[in-house]
Formats: sequence, C-alpha cells, structure tokens
Amino acid sequence: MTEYLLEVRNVTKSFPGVKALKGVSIQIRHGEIHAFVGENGAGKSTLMKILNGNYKKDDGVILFNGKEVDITNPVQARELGISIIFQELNLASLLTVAENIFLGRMIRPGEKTVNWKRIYREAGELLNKIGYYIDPHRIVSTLSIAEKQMVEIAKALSFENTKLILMDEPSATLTNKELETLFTIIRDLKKKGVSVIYISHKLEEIFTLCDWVTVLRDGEITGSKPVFEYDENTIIAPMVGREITNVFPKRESDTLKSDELLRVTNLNRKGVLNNISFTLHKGEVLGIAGLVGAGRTEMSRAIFGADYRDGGDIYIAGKKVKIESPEEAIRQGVAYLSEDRKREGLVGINTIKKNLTLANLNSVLKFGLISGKREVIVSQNIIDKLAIKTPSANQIAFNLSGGNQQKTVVGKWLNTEAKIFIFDEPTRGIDVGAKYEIYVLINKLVKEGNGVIMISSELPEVLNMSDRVLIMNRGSISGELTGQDRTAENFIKYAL
Amino acid sequence: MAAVKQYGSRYKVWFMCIGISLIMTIISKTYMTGNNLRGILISTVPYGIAAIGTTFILISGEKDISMGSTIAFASVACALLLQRMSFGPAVLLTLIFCAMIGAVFGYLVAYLHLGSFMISISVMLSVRGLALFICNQNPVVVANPVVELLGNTRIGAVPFTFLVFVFLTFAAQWFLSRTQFGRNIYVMGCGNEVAESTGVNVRWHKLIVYIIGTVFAGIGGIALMVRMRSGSAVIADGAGITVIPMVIMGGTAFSGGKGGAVRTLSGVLLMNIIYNIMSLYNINMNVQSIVEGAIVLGIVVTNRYMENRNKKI
Amino acid sequence: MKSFIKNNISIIVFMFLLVLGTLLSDNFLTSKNLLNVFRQASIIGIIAAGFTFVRVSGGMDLSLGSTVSLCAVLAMGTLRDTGNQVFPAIIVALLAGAGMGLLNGLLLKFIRGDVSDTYLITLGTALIGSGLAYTYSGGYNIYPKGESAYRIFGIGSVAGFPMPAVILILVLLILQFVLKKTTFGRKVQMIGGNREACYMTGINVHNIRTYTFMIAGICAAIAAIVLTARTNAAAPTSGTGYEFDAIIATIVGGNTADGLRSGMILTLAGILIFSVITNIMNLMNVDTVLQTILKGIILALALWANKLREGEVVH
Repeated sequence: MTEYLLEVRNVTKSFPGVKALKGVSIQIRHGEIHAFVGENGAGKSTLMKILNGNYKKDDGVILFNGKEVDITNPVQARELGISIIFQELNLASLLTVAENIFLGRMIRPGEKTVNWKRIYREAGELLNKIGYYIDPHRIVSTLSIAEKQMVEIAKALSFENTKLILMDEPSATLTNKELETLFTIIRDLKKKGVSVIYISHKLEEIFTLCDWVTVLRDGEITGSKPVFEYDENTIIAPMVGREITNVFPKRESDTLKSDELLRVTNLNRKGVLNNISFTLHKGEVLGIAGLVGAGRTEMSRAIFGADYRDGGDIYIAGKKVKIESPEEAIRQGVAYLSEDRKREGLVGINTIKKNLTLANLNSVLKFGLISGKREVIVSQNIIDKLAIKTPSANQIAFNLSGGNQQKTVVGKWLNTEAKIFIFDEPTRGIDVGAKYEIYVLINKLVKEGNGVIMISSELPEVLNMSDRVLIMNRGSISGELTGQDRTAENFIKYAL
Repeated sequence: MAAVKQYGSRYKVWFMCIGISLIMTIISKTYMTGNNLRGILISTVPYGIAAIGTTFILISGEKDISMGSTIAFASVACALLLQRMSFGPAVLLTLIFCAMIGAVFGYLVAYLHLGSFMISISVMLSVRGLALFICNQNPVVVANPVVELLGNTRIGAVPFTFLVFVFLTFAAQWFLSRTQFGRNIYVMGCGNEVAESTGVNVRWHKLIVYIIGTVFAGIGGIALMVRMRSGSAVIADGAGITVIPMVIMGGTAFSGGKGGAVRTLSGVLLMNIIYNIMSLYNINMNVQSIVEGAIVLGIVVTNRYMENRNKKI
Repeated sequence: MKSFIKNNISIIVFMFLLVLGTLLSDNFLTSKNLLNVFRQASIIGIIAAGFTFVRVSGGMDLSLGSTVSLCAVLAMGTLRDTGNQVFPAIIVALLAGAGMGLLNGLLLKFIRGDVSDTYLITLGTALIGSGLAYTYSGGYNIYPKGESAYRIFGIGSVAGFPMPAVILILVLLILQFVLKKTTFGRKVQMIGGNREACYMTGINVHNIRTYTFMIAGICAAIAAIVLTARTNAAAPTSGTGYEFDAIIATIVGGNTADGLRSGMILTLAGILIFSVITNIMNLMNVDTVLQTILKGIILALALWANKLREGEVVH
C-alpha cells in the first residue's frame, strides 16, 4: 500500500481569461476525510472536476495509488475507483430510485438482459446498508430534495471498487437526520479505507467530520494541515487573504417600539402548514430557523401567493390584504428571494440588465414605453450600488458567480417599492466575502425602515443576524427566541 | 386497495378498451362481429407499427411528426421494387432506404443539435417530395402473390398482419426494458447531461433511435401497401396528427423519459376502437375531427392537470 | 464585422437571394414579379407575425392553419348570410380568431403547462377548429353573392401597393412596437427565458401567454380576411398548411424560443426568404415535387445556419 491514495503534483488548469489552478499539489491518504475549503472561484470545483474526468488538466501529474494516471472522462474515473457527488443533482428524474443507483450499469457481467428483480433487491439492500431506506420503486421526481441527495450518495457508493469519493457541498439540502446518516456513512467509509474529499462552506461540519483541511484561494493552495491545527478564526485568513474579525456586521436594533409591518394569522395548508401566526415589525430582522422540511419555505411561498393555502389572513401595515399570487404580493410591497436562485430567481439566459428591471418595468418607462436609455441608467445604478462584479450589464446572468447572481436578485427587488423582504437561504452557495456583503445589505434595508424575514439553515447566521428568531417544526411555529435566548441549544430544543 | 389503484392506473387504457367494447356489445348489433373486430385489428397495423417507432423517438426526448411521409415513401418504394424483385429483397431494400433517411434525420438532430421538431418538418417535406418523385405522382399497383397471401392470411380469426404488429410491439418492448441501450434511451429522455455522465454516447444513441423510428415507419408503410395492394405517395398526409395522439394516449410522455411499446399498443387499439365506433354510427367526418381533437385535449388535460394541480405555475 | 454578420444574417441572406434571383431569371426584378412575391408572402407573413409572440414566449401553435380555415368560412358565411355586410364579417372572423387563441391560453393555464404541452394543446384545438370549419360549411365552399367592399382587403391597393402587403406592413409595425416597446412585449420575451422566475417576479404568466395565443389567433383571422377577400371564396381547407409556413418563416428568420432573439424584422426576413426562394423556383419552372424536396433541404440548411450563430448574443 502506497503512502498516499492520491497525489496531485503541480497541476495547472486555465480557461479563457482565467487561471483556475496555478500549480496545486495535494496529498490524500488512505481512509482520510479531507476537506477542501475556499471561496467561490478558488478552484475547489475545478480540481474536483479534473479528478472526476470532466476537465483535462493542462499540466502536472496525478498519481493514484502510486501510479500516474490521466483521467479523461467520468467513466474512466469510475473504473479507477473515483466517484463523485455533485452539488447539482445528476439524476434521471422520471426513472426509479433503483435504476438511478445503477444508472448505466443495469446489466452485470454474466447477465444478458436487465434483471429487474435483482436491481430492485440490490438497491433496497444498499439503501438499508447506508441506513436510509427509500422504496426503490419510487420515481425520483416524487422525492424530496434531501431524499434525492441520499439517492446520489447511494449511487456513488454502489460502485464496488470505490476508493475515493468526491463530495461537493453534499449537506446543503439535508435535514439533521440525513446529515447524521451522511456522517455515519462517511465514517464507515473511512474505517474501510475509503477516502473522502469533502467540499463545504459550513465550517462547523468540517471541524466535526474531517481529518485534514486544504485551503484554496485564487487557484493556489494557501494552507494544508490536519484539522486540529485550525479553528474557526484561523481558517478564514488563508481563505480570503485577510483577517475578518466580524463575520456578522453589527447593527443597532430598536424594534421593540416599532410599528407592525406584516401580520400573518392562522396560515394553514393541509399537511404542510399548521396555524401559523406571527408579526414582523419595521426595522426588524425576523429569523426563521428550523430543520429542512419544517415548512419555512412553504410558509413564505404561501404568504407570497406562490402556493395554494387553505386558510389564513395577511395584514400589511394593519390592513387586511388579499394575496393570491406573487403579482398581488408585490403590489402590496412584499419581495421574495427564492432559495433556488437558478430556477426561480433569475432568467439566467438573458442579460443582467433585463433581470434587474424585471420586477418593476415601470421604472424604465418614458411616456409609457420602454426606454433603452432609462434601462441602462437604472440597471447600472444598481450594479454600482451593490458592486456586482461584471464586465457589462449586458453580460448573461448565468455567467455570474453565485454571489453576484444573488446580488442581482437582490438588486432586482431593490428596484421595487418593496418594504417586506423575505430572504430564503440568502447565502447558500456563496463564499465568505460575498456573504458579508449580503449581511451588510440586509442591515441597511432594515435601517431604512423595511422589514426582513430571513430563512436560514445556517444557525450562526440566523442567530446573529436576527432580532427575533422564530423556530418552525413540522409546519408550526414551535418557539420564539429573543435577546440572550438566541442560542443553539434553545434552537435544538424547539426544532426537534 | 392501493394495489388495485396502482394496477388500475397503469393499465387504464386496456381497461377502457375492454370496457368500451363491452358497452358496445350491448348497444350495437354489429360491433362484436368477427368482421368488425377483424376490421379494427387490421386498421391498427400501419399507423400502429409507425407509432412504435415514434415511441422510441419520444422517449428519447425528441419530437417527430414526419412519419406520414416515411410511410408513403416506403409504400411506394416497396411497390416499385416489387416490380423488379421478390418480396423479401424488396422489403429489405425499402427498409435500408428508410434507415438511410433515419440516419440523415438522426445526424441533423443528434450531431448538429438542430431542433427535432423543426427538422422533422424538413424531413416531412423532403421525404414526401421524394416519394412523389420516384413514382411520378402516380400510384403503383402491386401484383405479388406474397403480398396477397399476407393481406389475406389469418391465424385462427386474427389477421396475420396484426400478429406481426403485436410481435413487433413485444420485441420493441423487450428492447426498451431489458437492454442497456433501451434503458439509455429513457435516460436520455430525462436529460442529455445525466446520460452523458454515465458514459452514454448520446449522439450515437439518438442516431440509432432515429433509424429505429424511420424503419418502423417504413414497416408501417409496407403494411399499408400490403393492405391496399398498391403503393401511393399521397397517403398518410399529416399522419403525425393521428399517430402522436395514439402514442400519448398509451401513456408515453411527449416530453420524454417515460413510456413503452406495449403502452403504445393500447393507445393504438383504443383510438382505432373509437374510430370504428364513429364510423359504425356514421358520424360525419367533420364531427370526427372534433371528437379527435377533444380526445387529444382530454388526454393532455387529465394527465397534466393531475400532475400539476398543486402548482400555480 | 463578424458580429454584424451574425446578427443580421437573415437580412444578408435575403440580399443574396435578391441578387441570385436577378441572375437566374430576367423576370425576377420586375415590379410585377416583386409585387407578386409580396402578395404571396402577405398571408403567411401576417400569421407569422402573430406566431412570433407565441414562439418568443416559449410556446408552439399548431392550430393557426385551422384558425385561418375557421375564420375564412365564418367570414364568407357571414357575408353570404347578411347580404354582403362587411363589418359583421370582419368582426366574426376576428372574434373566432381571438376565441381560438383564448381557448389555447385557457387550456394551457388550466394544466399549468410547459413548452411540450403547447404542442399537444394546439394540436387538439387544431383538430377541433378544423372540425368546426367543416361542420359550419358542410364540407362545401362558401361564396358570397357577388362583389362587395370586402374585396378591398384582398385585391385593393394603396398608392400602388397591394392591400395585402400594406396590411402585412401595418401588422408588422404594430406588433414590433408592442414586442419591443411595451412592458407586455418585454414580459413575453422574459417568459420564454424562464417562466417560473417570471412568475415569482410578479408577472402574470398565464395571462401573458394567453394574450400571445390571442394575438396569433387574431393575426390568423386577419390573414383569413385577406385570403378570402382575394379569392372571394372560402373552403374548410382554406388555411391548411399555413401553420407550418408561418412557423418556418418565424423560426428561420431567427426568433428563438428562449426570448433571447426576437423581432418582426427577423420574422419578415424569414417570410421573404421563403417567398423569394419559392418565387425563384417558380420562375425557373422547377417541378412542384422537386420544390417540395428543395424546401425541406433549404429549411434544414436555414436551421443549421441559425444554429451556427447561436453562440453569440447581442442586445
């Protein structure tokens, strides 16, 4: 057995206009849980994709089990023993769980045709083995996001000769229960000598789970040490190249005396939401915490009119309003930033400019008609105000980084008369630098007298940024935390 | 109870065929006669076989309305070839020509990434023109003993051509559900990226799917020639409007990733039963069109409404 | 230079065809011939202009040919039954066109449909529309008694330009304005790009899509009026095939289903390219069968040419 399972020596990779990897060298040992951390664009995903055969390295050497390898496609990576779990789910949504686990490998050597009985049986056995059972006959499109993620994990584990599993933000959409299952699976793999490369923005997970941490910044390795040699503070510097003492900007809150901005009473949806009532005040950040699946997004969508509801009233500034569609919600001054930016936040295929003006086309009218000039002025204004990094407003929105995409979404809403902003997972998939900018923005919004509802699965974020925190549990509000009570322990108490 | 519900929904089209037939047996004196039933079975064959080919293409995630032109082309080409050679070689050569059409079709869609619907319009025009060209816009009469035999033979009470159709259906179904290639077609229908990630060469697979599609349409055209004892370049004009509803009724999704050959058989059967009922009652051609339209809308609306009723968009 | 070519390739191709036509036939560049081309192109063009809205918002409409047939028989039937009263005939046609569009839109809204659904829904309404046209006309042609002012729409002229062409230009101008200068037009384009995101940004996607179908339906009605005014007759097959011609013109011209590239100029270019090609083939006495084959090949080439330039997007 070689000293290292995987050795990367001086690998470089460039794309037109950008050097993604500038000569990185890494060592992964057998049975090691190895974290890659770094801001978006640091090169973590690029390196993963080279290891998985999606990209070809420009230069450098990769040694797998001591032998030099040239990984040219994912199938070859699989044959070597490298599996990957992407952040973007890679499932055939209209096919069954079992088929997805064995996708492309439905016929075993020795068999002539697909043996469905065996497929379903083995899929069930595998799911049982990893401790997360889903009926293998179920069609993937009917699964929850967390269940789909678990199918992806089962798929990666179904290759018998797997020696290295690459996981790109696997925990983003998992509930606590699934997260525990995932950690157990990873620890089991470690015992069997399988290594895991774990990319995550959630530093608490890294410190809980991983053995070794490699930090990347701007295509270079800025640190690679056993995990106990880092802590939450010392890990930030190599990631961003500067000290960040305050992860969360300070803000004065004076909300106890403020006026009522939004009041929801008895919001109901059969099987999903259970008599939800709460109030949002001017100048307040109201956090909504809870486990994935608790109903936070469902609640927001119901308030925003994007989903059906069975009952409940909404009051804005004390007056009862009718909101049956996003159109009506926006007219009442409510803005909603979806957790799924790509699918619901942006018309990615079109320009930043047209995305920024979409929520309020009236702002670019002149004599009642669309004015190109006004649109340029309005959109450039927002780009400057929010420091959206882009060569031009005519750049396609999809080409922006995650953080800048989110800023574009925020910018779109800032261009409206909204007074109530519902942020659903505002910093998911966004690096540390951009996160801070979003927090500053949120603070600015409430300082101006608006109200912000912030749904977040990142405890530190929701506990620190909010004036009050509502905790949701299985479709109901189970608790409220204010002042000194805003602690993780109290959260657990109400969330489970 | 849950099992009944699950089976019920999976086989609902078959149940409808049986149910409607039972009702018709009671209401009508002529429905349940040997002649009438045979007539229904015979009428399913040409478009039905083409429908199997269309099923492959739809499952893979592409769209196609050109099958009518290929049917006409095959009927004419085969009829012309029968003037020079015997049945076997004529059929083989006709299907080779159809495969060549499919290869071009597939190349344009799979390798050049041109939109399948628009390209199918292109193919529809060109192949129709080709069909008209090779026969000089005249029908081609067929006087071939094998053809006579095929057209008249029955196994028991069932027309031979229908049995060929059923055989092809089950062969296609076996291919779709028991071979890796067949499963890959479904995966492609769920998304090209997912398929690529498992190492499937999507372009090659789609090319083959198109060849399968046109060859089946070709067999359908030959079947039509057998029935009419002649090849004609003007038949099956706009067959897409008839074939696609049959496939969709059977449960194959227009957007891909779902469906099957046996299901298509059920859709073909049901549609032909409905056509038969309409002609038994001498329902005006004009009204038939309205009924067809209502059926298409009925299928789409019931399927999609159920899927989407909890969504607002 | 390269991007200029890419953006305006359909116009450049059109210029090229004009040159080609002049070279291939002495009769091409005559005013008689060119006006003829315009006259032929007008019917398809009016339909294509309306279809552009459906296409740009990500939809498909296979019912336009049937709508033309239905409006044609209704218009002629009204003329016949009211003793050549022009106004009612026009109103009936326009209402029928709008009605078909409304039906398409409402069905799509009911099922919360996506792009694939628009194919099937309009396929169904096409069959129904066609059936209604047949039923109303009894399968026969419809002729009004004698001549009336109605015929202006088909055979009249304005300052020497044939009325159909004038109507086409008017329709194109109005619809271009609506598409590019109104908030409605902007919403249509963005819906093509991502309809869920548009819904969540407060756009009434269902209504907008319904309006696009209604615009297409009304354009089909206008085309039916021009067509029947020209021939002074209507048949339940009057519109057969027009839906494909319109779809081809709109898409070959360069309008994309994701809302990224759109405009009546593109549609017009598509219309003219096809009409000129047909005209050249006719002038050169190309066999109709060969014309059909060539049309298919040229369509494929045009789609390929469009694909080549899809890499770059310029606004």
